[in-house]
Amino acid sequence: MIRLLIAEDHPVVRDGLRGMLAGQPDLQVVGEAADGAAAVALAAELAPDVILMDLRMPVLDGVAAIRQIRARQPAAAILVLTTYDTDSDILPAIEAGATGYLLKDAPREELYRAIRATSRGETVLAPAVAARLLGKMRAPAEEKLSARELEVLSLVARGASNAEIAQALHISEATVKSHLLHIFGKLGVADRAAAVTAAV
Amino acid sequence: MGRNSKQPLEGASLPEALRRVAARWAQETGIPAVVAVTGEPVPLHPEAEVTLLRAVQEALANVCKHAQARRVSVTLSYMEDQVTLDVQDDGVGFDPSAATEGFGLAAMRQRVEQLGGSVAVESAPGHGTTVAVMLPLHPS
Repeated sequence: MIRLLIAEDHPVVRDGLRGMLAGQPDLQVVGEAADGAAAVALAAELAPDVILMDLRMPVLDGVAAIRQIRARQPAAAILVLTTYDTDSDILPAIEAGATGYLLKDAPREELYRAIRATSRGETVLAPAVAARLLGKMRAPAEEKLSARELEVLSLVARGASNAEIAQALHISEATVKSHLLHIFGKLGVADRAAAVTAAV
Repeated sequence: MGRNSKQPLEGASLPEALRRVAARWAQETGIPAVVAVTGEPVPLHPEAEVTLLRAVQEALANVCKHAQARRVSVTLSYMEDQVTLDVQDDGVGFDPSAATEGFGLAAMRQRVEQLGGSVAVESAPGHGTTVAVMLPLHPS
């Protein structure tokens, strides 16, 4: 049985959530909070397995509540429910210790899955802007080398290997290779020797 | 309402969040963590930013658990079509071909790959470990 605390200031949303969750035999709502301060108090009192947390709440907002709960209960599993996936509070909420986030208009099956995953300690993220992200690169790059690319190129010019560049710049070889590919692309060359020649 | 019409909150940018997470981690562990940001920081989709922030948290937690490091570097590199995050430690390292991936890293990889990105772990015994996360940038 997964014991849940709902922290949400809108009674209609709260009721809707409770109603949806009531149909799941393994999920049980053990508490409801209408503001962040009540959420902190109930989280301490009830020690729920998963806390469903709204971000925009009176008295104490969601991010502050998450921080306080996390400070007292380091193992708390907190799933943020938010209206917009562009909400600028999402990042601060994760930083404060939320385990994941889900949009309020997510299908109910997704909510159930997210709660179960959160209770196992997994990170849940609202799905799939993936389609938007995949395969859609931005417009062709400017031809100008960035400061970091010039730094990489100067190391190449001194004969440094990718591993040596990685070590010098405290980055991975994978990232060195990315920089090199951008340098090659901007200079219109195929390899590091040609890049050095082109840049001289 | 488009995401570009909305100004991010003060102090809510990914580089700032990374710096705070690294500073707090350094304070808690006593291991210096140096954060560098190269390129032109642009706001990413929140899902991408959250994924990167979680990756830093997990990578730092792994450093604390396994690496016996004296220093950690966190580098966020903005490029035209991608952003990469490198977390490098100077700890004991390991043989990546011999080690099985822990749960945290496997979960991180899955999230990153869902966003079209990739995760690389570069390490050798005695030579520290670098976790590299790459995400493609969304169209502007």
